[in-house]
Amino acid sequence: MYLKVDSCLSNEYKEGMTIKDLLDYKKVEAVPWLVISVNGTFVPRAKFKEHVLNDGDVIELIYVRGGG
Amino acid sequence: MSRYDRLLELSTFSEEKLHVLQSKKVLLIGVGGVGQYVATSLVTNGIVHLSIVDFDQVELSNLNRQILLKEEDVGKKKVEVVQSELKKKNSALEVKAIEEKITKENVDRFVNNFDIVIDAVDNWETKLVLGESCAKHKIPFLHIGVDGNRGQYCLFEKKSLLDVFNPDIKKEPRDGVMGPMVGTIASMASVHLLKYLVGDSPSDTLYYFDSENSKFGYTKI
Repeated sequence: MYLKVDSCLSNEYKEGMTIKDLLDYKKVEAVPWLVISVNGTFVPRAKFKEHVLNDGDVIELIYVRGGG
Repeated sequence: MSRYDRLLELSTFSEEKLHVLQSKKVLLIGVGGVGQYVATSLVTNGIVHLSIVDFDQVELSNLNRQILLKEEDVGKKKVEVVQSELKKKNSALEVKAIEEKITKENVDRFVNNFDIVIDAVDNWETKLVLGESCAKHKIPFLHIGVDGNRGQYCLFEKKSLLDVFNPDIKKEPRDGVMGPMVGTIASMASVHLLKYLVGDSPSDTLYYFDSENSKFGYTKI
């Protein structure tokens, strides 16, 4: 399955993968300041385990900051 | 000749939109790096009713990013220095300076009676308190955050800051910051805010910039 993760397109991903599976596969820790966007829409943290990714999805890992 | 000539020449702007901006009451919490850029942008482009809140004193280390400060201001109350500098930009400005720390206990007293509240504070604890209060009172809330090589902003209206971030975010580690990075995020957020107030920008969209990986984007909340 093709996914575009942080602008990198690859077919290394397995069908039926959830967001949590993707993070585990890429060894990305779901720190509280990580926001995930799929196809331009925010996915709540509570949905990481159940949100199944589809072929061609565009995923952005956004690390937010608290300074001012 | 008016101070707004160049603004009014903008093809997507108008006299009516200027009047809308001049009617808005804006509350800006935090007048550090982000807050000073935002305040300057607003009061030179149509906003005339502005309240600013901060409890810090000016430190020498502020000067790499806090554009309204000078060496001679070190040790002074920041909110008063910023108020004075903003009035020099626009003598017609009604700027109220409040030297106080925002807490869960007093936040509701601050956010009421404003058309928009801007989060330019430097910590998640206060951002969450502000976001929760604005959602409760149904007041549009512009969140801005920047640190290290990353920054983001989002104008919450139908959604809340707490829909996106949970209290654990307070564990986020701190980094240093390059002054222009603060200015970049604050300037983009200011453009978005001015356009939002006249109906030309969407709410509930998170915009982000990562200068380490040359990444800019947005996501609907």
